[in-house]
Amino acid sequence: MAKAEIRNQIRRLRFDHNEMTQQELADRAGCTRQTIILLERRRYVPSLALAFEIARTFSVPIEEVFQYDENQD
Amino acid sequence: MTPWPFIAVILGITFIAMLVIGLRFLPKPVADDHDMGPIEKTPMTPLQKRAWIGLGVGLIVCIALIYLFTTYGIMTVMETDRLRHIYTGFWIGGLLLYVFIVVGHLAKAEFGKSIVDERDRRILSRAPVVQRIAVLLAVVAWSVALTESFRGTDGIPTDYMYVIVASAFIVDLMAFSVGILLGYWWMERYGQG
Repeated sequence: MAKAEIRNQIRRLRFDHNEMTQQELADRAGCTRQTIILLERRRYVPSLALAFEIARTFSVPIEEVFQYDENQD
Repeated sequence: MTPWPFIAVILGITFIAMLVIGLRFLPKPVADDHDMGPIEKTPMTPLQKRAWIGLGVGLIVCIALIYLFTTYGIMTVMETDRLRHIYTGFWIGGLLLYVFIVVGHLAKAEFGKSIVDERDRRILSRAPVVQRIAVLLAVVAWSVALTESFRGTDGIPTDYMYVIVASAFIVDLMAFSVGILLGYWWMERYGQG
């Protein structure tokens, strides 16, 4: 059975954008710093709304922030 | 015979059963990517901190009431004005303090004065599962304990109704905190489920 995984480039994008801190990103995206931490650790999958907010913060398309992988078990 | 031994046995058996089942069926923790470098411990969210404080308030109230009942007996507490007022003050005061600390934070978030983000809300939506189980368990424990301890007597004194309602409120709110804290722990260790 195929198992989907959502990966993200948030940590890399933060560093590429003037080394933005997790708190700065959280403030701009409207969430807590803890949520950003768990997103980077891939413990949490955001809602579409939050995903779009994060992509807008970095001024990049959402596919550049989040990638959907379908792996076979 | 007092109901306390029955309550202790029921709660003890339930706790051990949940521990055994939980350990048997727990999933594997999610591994972190090695290229992320050293992983710092995730700091607590404001809601998490308030859940801990609320749990602490509930525990203090529980300990105080258990001390009162085991020292004087439920009937003496209910029939003595001074002791009954202390009892009422403890559980209603604890209730109000809990509401102020935890529910107040949630209410402030509705007006944009505190942060409760989508992850917090997802955890909050699951906390009632723990509440339901805890309150059901409390009701079952009281039912069995009172039936067994007053079997063969004239009946269960009506003062126990007051104690059952108060204990249901306390258990309900403490379970809410436990549900919130369990949700954060689970997501940190096992990822979003």
